[in-house]
This record gives sequence, structure tokens and C-alpha cells, in this order.
Amino acid sequence: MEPEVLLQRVGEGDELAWECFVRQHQGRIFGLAYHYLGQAEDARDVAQETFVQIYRNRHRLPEESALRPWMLRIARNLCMDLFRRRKARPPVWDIPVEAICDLPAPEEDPGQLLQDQARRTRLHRALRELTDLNREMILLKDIQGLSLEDIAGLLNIPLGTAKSRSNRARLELAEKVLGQGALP
Amino acid sequence: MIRPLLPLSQALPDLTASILARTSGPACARLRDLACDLVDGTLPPDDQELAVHHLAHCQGCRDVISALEMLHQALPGLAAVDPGEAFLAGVLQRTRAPLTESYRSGDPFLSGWTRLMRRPRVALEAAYLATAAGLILAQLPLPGSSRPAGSTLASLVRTHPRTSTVWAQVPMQGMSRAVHASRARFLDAKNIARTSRPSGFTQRFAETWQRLVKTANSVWDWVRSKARGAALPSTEPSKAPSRSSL
Repeated sequence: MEPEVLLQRVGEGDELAWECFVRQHQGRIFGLAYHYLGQAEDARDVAQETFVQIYRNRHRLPEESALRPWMLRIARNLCMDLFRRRKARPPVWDIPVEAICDLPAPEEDPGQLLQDQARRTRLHRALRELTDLNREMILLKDIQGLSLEDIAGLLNIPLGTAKSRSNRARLELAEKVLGQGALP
Repeated sequence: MIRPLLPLSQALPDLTASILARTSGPACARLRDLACDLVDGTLPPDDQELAVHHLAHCQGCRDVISALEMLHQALPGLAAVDPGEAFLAGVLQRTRAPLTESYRSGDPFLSGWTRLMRRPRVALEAAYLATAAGLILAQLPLPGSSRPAGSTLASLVRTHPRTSTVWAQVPMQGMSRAVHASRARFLDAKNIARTSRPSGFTQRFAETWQRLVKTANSVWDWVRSKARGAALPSTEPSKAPSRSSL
């Protein structure tokens, strides 16, 4: 089904379309929350709340091109609210590397998963060494695939600042990966 | 003895490096500025040509570009993480039954209140509103005075610290007496009259306060009389009937 048609049917209240929509986007939303929060339980709660908010606003969903930034913005805001409720912002990526690698990516066959395990481990180890600011840029730009314009709007910073931060973060991550001895 | 000449392939890079070291310095920093655009394919053609030319002679920058290319391919694969089987069921449950009951209920006040209380920043907003209300009330004039209550109170505290302190303490004493001793009245108006000795605005304020105190005392007396009237029945045994009535 075309994404526009799916969105239209979600807006009309079609429960099957809503279920399909949740299946399509749950991994990405949960992944963002998990990378921010570092705890699977909290990430599940935030992801669930994100979908509840999307459902409440299903009559005014954005267009397909703007849908992903919109959903990720909701999820990120909920993560930030959770941080505020905790009254302290813990390190965004303070997750044991092994715990991250235990979480399988959806729709991936076991052989491919095994092959990518070492690379993922090295990547996560390098990511953990980044500063919070650079890690968030990598998370939003390179992992979640948001455009620089969306990130600038999300973080409320100028476009040029977003671009320079993103480049700096990527270079720092590349050097961390190189510093681990070999390219993954 | 004549030193043997270096082969040309080795001599030229050394020469380039020594010239750059004595002039502009190595160009690696400049390449790092362009590296992300080079990997993304958004570099202008002239810059791209220069970058490729540098990369042909710099192993360190080649490694950085290789790492960036690897990250460009690998990082999007980390975006989606499987939340588990129960996640979808939980979302569907929350977006069907509870929403239809609470948010689409016929009571608009209940659904509106629920929606308001579910907002994450409601505590912060309540504190903000309370502060704003306090500031507005402090700017309103007291009865019989054209000056704002805040400045009146501030000047009162400044000029009559003892009096204002007594005014602040007397209600608290009255409240504690009312709580701890049933005979006590709320406030003793004579105490205020004895300690304040005001003039002008403060006198009017004291008179108003005394009227309030009298009203509170009369209400308290009425409540106590009602409470006595509705006293519990006595638990003493009833007296025996007189002999004449037998």
C-alpha cells in the first residue's frame, strides 16, 4: 500500500491501517528512545506514548515526507520530558555495549545478524566515547536520517550550526573508529 | 663521496612535505573540513578534484575517508530496534479502549481535565500561573487605599516591623488555639488593638480586621452551640421511675 493511502486510512480511523502503521514505525521510534534513554523499559513507555500522541493527532497527520521528522520530534520531546522528570540528564548512551547488541534489528536474518555483530559492537563502543552533543547529532542525522533542516528545527539552532556540528561529530566518530585499530 | 640520489618517486613526496612544512603547513586540516561533503557527494567539482589529489598522497586522510564511508553505510542500520512482541499489543490496547473511554466520553469536562493533567509540564505551568497570580494580587490596591498591596505591605514591614509581625503571628496563634483547645476563640481582637496602635491607613486596616475577627468569633460561637445541641446521648443508666408513678 502506498504510504499516502496508508496515512489517509489511518486518519479515517481504519484500525487495520493503524496496526500496519505501528508495525512500520515502531522499530525506529523505539530505537530513538532506546538510544536516548538507555533503558529498554523506559524506551518502550516513551515509544508507546509517542504512538498514543500520534493516534490522538491522526486527523492532522503531516505529509509522508514530513512524517518521520514529526514522529521523531514527538519521541525526542517525550525523552526530554522524562529527563526533566528525573531532574538530571544522564548520559544519553550509557548503555552496556553488549546490551545494545543483544537487541536485534527487525527483519534481519540470523546469519547477517551474526556477521554484523562485531561491527555493531565496535560502532557502539566508538559512539559511547563521543560527547553528548556529538552523539545526539550522529543519532539524529546519521542513524535516524533526519535532514539538517529538520535537526536545526528540532534542536532550535541555526542551519549552519547544525551542519558544522554534524561534520564535527562524524569526524570525531571516524577518528574514534580508526583509533580502535582497524576499520570495522 | 657523492651521496646516492633518492628515487624520484620517493624524493618528490619528501620535497612536497618539506615545502609545505616551510610554507602553509600540511593540507590535512583543510581536507577534514571537506571530508563529510566529499563522502556525501555534495562537494563542488573543483574542491573534489583537489581533495582527490591530496588523498592520492596522504594515507592518514585516506583512512579517515574510508572510516566516514563505512559510517555512512553502517549507521542507518542502527536506527530500528525491535521493541519486542508485546509492544504492538500494548500500543493497540492504549489507542483503542482507554482513548475511546476517556477522551471520547460524553463528559467534556472530564475528558478535558484528563487531557490537561496528562500534559508533562503541568506542574511547571501551575507554578508559573501561581507566581503570576501572586504578582498580580500584589499590584492590586487594598480596600480603602490607592497604593498596591505589595508596596503597602513592604512599606508597612519597613516602617512598623513589630506591628506587621504581630499581624502575621496573631492568625497563626488563633488557628493553633482553635485546633488544640476547644474553648479558645479564633482571635483576640483586644490583642491587636493593644499592640498595633495604628493611624491613617493602618487604623482603617485594623478596624476592618477587627470586624472580620468579630464575625469569625460569632461564627465559631454558633458552630459550638450547634455542636453542643447535637451532643451525643448520655451513656448513664436511666433513673428508676418514682414510686408514685407505679
